[in-house]
Amino acid sequence: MLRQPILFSIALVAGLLAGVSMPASALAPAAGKTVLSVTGLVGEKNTDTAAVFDMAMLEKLPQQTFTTHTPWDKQPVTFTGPLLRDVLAAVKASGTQLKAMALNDYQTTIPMEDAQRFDVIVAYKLNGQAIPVKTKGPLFIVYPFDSKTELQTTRYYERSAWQLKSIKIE
Amino acid sequence: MRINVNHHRHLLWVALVSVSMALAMAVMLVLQLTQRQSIRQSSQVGNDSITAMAFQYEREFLRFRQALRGVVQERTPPDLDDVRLRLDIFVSRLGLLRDNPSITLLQERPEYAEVIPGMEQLVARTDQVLSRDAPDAQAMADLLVEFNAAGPAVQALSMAANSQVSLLLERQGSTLLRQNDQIIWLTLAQLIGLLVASGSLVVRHRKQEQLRLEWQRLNANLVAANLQAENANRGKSQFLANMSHELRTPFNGMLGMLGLLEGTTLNAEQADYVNTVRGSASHLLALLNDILDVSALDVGKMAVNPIPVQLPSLLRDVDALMQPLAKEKKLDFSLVLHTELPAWVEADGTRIKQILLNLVSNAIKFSPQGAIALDVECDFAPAARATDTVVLRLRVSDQGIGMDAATIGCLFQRFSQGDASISRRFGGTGLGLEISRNLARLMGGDITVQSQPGQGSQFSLELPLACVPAPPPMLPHVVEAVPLDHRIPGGETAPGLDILVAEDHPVNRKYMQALLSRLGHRIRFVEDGLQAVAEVRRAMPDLVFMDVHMPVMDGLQATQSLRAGGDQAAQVYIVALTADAFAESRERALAAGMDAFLSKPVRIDQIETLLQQRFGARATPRRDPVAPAVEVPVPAAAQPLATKPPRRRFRAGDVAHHLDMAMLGEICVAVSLDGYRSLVDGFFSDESGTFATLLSALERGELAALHASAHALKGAAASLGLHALADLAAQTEQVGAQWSAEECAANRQQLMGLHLTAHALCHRMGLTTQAPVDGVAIGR
Repeated sequence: MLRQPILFSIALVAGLLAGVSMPASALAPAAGKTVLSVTGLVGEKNTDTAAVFDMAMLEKLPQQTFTTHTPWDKQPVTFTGPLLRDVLAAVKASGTQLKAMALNDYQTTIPMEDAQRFDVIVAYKLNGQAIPVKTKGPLFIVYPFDSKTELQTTRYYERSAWQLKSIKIE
Repeated sequence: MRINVNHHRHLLWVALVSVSMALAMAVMLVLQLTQRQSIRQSSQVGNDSITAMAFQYEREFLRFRQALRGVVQERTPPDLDDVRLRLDIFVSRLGLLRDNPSITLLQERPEYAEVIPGMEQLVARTDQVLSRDAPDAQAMADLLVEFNAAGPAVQALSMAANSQVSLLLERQGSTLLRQNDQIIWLTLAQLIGLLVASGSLVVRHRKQEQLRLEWQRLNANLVAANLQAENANRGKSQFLANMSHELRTPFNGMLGMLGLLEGTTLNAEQADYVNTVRGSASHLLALLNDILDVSALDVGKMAVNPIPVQLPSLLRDVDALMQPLAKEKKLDFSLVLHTELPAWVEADGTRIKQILLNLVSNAIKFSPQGAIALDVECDFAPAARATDTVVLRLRVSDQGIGMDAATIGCLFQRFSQGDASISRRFGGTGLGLEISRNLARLMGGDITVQSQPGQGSQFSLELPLACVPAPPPMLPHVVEAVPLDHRIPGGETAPGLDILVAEDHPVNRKYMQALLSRLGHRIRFVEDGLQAVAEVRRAMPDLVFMDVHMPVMDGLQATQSLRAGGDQAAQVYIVALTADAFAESRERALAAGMDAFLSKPVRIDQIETLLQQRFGARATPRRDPVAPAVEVPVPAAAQPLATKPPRRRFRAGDVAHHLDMAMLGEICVAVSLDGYRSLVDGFFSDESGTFATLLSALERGELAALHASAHALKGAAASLGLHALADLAAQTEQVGAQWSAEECAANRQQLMGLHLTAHALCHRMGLTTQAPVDGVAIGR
């Protein structure tokens, strides 16, 4: 886990020394195990076909934490992760909607504007802990259900894809 | 009372219906809330439906079992990562079945208890086996056997979830139906309640409408009754007014005859009788006037006519009129002016005088002793403009018997007068104060009273009055030249006036005849307006006295008819004569074209004044007496009546002017009355011939002879106390020598007049035995 920041720092320093301007949004290649792949209308890719993220890349994005009730838990739970719009910005996503795909082939469609209207996050921590697949991990698209009544409906519960595997921008 | 009970019962009904409807609505509200809650619950359950979870669980179970079977049976190099991922996903599904809040419904089922705990153990063991880097093939084969064996139970759980949801939906459906039924019943109940309530409202409205109509009818009856009563009352007042008029006509005659009677020679006893009758008549007249006033007030015909009035002189009049009355009862009456008063105010002086006379005479009447005062004050500032309104406060206070509160309470009510004992003791109609207060209020003021039994009374009259500038001084009445032809056919000017009297009442005719002939005028009579018009056109009189109320054609119509003629008769001078005391009568008369207005009973001095104003010297004919005509006038024939000689009448002050009573008294004391009587008799019969000598000297213009005879007459007259005659004689003695013929004639005439008046006065006073005969005693 310690390796990536060091590597990133080295790359950054190298870039600066070489006088090459390195855009902040430029997507570095995934060093660790891929946890999320974004395909479709993305402007920034780090593989031939997709922009892929390992956990470290997600951790480097600005972080958001909120606590909310969910239909799947008896108690309110705290989620942590980058905002969906930051993830989409990182890959320079364009298009109107995104299709989220889960490990169990669950698929749901999320309008792009949801990422702007709500503080939707791609959570990788639940109550401060990494989320194993055995529960709902490793990634979980979560809406801040408690912040708005309109979010407490089936429409948004359905859009909250857990065991998130990939996103396709359309 | 019945209405009240009904009203209460109705209120109770309304309250009951309202309360029951409110209850029904509350119950419906509770039901709706419960429904809402249960719908929300079911929707929450639906959020993550247990069928979907059970289905996903079964799906992941099958996918994992498939993956496991691949590893166990195909003997190919196993993709262990995939198997592990499948297990993880399956475990997550198992976890959901255990922890998801929606799963409680399923947890009650036996199928759940059968499959979940066993599965958790199986999964735990599988996890153990798979977590090794190289899992034991046999162990995995055993696991597959177990997973295969668990298949039916997992399937059963799916079915259980399905049936559980169906059951739930059924239960919810039946709950909803039940609640729906309840709502329907409640709605029905409300509907019935509403119908009952509106029905009762309709019934009540009808009842109220009936009541309202009843009341309306009652009200209409009351209004009609009230109108009837008012009409009756007005009729009564009109009757009173008519009665008063009717009474005044014969009364007028009585007063006239009384006046004539007074003019005849009466002995002391008769004079006393006449005096008593005069007093009674005055009282009766006052009474009639009161009744007329009250009737006028009742029918709203009483009006006040404000004109510029000299306030101090009005108050002095009241003082002068009341002093004798007070003196008679040995009471002290004083007029006290507290502040400066405006000299001229705009007011109906007659009415103010009427009120004050009433108040003061009441004070005198109810005061056995003590002083009576009329205090006058007002907020007048002399600097104030002449048109300012001042409030005049006139207070009549006495120290008489006073009144208690109860008496004061009914003081101003009609026909009431103190208490019964008082009215018996003091008499009176009780109308005076009512009239006074009504008059005061008509004038914008009021009368208040303060009194205590035995402490006297205070009546306060407050009047708002407008100050006015003094009117220009009244010029002496201009005596018009009379252009009308009043010559008799013989070419000689007939003495006196030619007067036509239109009057239907014989008593009044007789009275007028007596009055006018005494004044030396010629009189024609007619009985109605039609005859009056014809008579005026036949022979134009100097003046017409026109009664207003007459049969055939009344005085107003007759006047209008004459004025409309356009001939000489249209110019005739007409004086209205009426017993009608209403102010509007005067206006009506003047509007009809009459020139003047006299109200009955007419006094001789009023007629004399009127005639003198209109005709000057012609109104007082000096002529030789003729034999008195005694026949009763025959009006229908309208024949000119022979006139009686003018009888001497006396005015106030005559005695003082002609006689020196002090001197006379001394002579009587000195020589006794009989002695004086013989002296006076001698003087008036001109035993010495002095008077005749003087008259003849004057007649002939023998100025030289004047001095001696005038001197002789002066001495005789003065020593007998006949000082007016003595004065003129003294004047003649002094300056007669320079007189012209005309002056001599005028003075001769005057001397004769003074001689005659003094003689008549002495005769009236019983100082001489021989009655004066005009002209007889005068030597020619």
